[in-house]
Amino acid sequence: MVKNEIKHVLKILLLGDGAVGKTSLILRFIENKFKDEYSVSLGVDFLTKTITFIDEDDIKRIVSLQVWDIAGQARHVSYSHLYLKGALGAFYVFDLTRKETLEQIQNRWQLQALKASPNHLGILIGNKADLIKERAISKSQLKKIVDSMHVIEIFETSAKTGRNVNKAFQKLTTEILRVKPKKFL
Amino acid sequence: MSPLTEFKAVKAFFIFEKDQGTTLFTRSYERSSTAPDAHLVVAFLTAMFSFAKTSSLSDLKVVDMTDIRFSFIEKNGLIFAVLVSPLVSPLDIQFKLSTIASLFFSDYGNQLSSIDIVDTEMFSDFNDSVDEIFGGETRQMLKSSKNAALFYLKKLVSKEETGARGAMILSFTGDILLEYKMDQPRMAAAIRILNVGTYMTNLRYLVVASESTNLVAYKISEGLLLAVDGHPSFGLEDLVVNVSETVKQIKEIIPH
Repeated sequence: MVKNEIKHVLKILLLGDGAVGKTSLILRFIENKFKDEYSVSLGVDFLTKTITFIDEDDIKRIVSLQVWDIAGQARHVSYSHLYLKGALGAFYVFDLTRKETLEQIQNRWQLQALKASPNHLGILIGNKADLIKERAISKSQLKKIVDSMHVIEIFETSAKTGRNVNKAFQKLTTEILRVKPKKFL
Repeated sequence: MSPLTEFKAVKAFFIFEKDQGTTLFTRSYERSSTAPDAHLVVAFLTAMFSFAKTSSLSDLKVVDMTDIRFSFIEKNGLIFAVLVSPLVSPLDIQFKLSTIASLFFSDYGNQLSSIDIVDTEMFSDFNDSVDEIFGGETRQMLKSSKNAALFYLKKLVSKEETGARGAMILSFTGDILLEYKMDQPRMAAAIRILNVGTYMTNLRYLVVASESTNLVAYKISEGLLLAVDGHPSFGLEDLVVNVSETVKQIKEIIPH
């Protein structure tokens, strides 16, 4: 029997270079849709989705996820801390067919996000997993790199097919609620 | 005429309800004697949106006048509008407005949906974010990097045999960070053309040839472009080679 009901608002960032599929992942997660044509995101935007679940202590958690879509080029602006701050979680998204997008996460994105929101949890997302023939990073290469990164898990996703998208959001949400001290929520 | 980088590019910023024209937030960057009357401006803009709606011009984003441009975005029934110099990159302004709108709804969205009459005093904390976004550069560059990059721009333009008449470094949205001897009308035209800059994720360079200029835009990094105004009588291929040399030099001094 449900003992109690608690509401949370969680700010989650999607970070990564241009054209890695951040907007598509959000569209898949929020609306379960996919658009084939690419359009560049301009600036930053956020969408919200409420998910409800009952945790292991029989507490009903109503979580309003504020999912921030940060344009790839927005890394370069001098005021990026304004929208990076206050995040409890981040998806670091790279394109499995473009190795340089993974390198940028290690070298750039993660440093910026950690500076603005030092207590956030990160998950690495290798997107476009459906493009098997064009894949540029092997699983073993990936494992080596991930071990040196500040992330709790890696998911290979496809915004196109929906593979692992909900799973990744679910994982990050439950981990934030499990790990974060109450003062953050 | 003073270079663009010395312009007071942003004159005033407003947030108001699209249908009723209720002003929620204003910020002026002019001296009080020359500052636009916020209520008059909002009344004008509201009337214009009403006209646009009846005239099927629903996607109104920019209105250009001789010395001023109104640039807007709409989000959840609110209009985020800015008065800027018409020489400022429209894409840069749209990028900034989009960011401001997201931050505004993140900070005040709950209060806006739960009450009918909004006490606009509560938005006063938003001044700092707006100032930082309009006042800050779209691309961070250290002063030392700027000085060094300017040296290479001068070097490129000063040698007649390069074919370059003027050069500037732009952010991906067209914000001018550095400029040397760019003719102002061509500069303004270049910024408009380079609205595609943000789409240059997978392009190394872009050439636009016309009777009055050969414009080359070369990607320095994901966030930076070098735009060069080349003499139209000079061979395009040679100009591109010369520009690429300068790009190499600038890449070495600017941290990516």
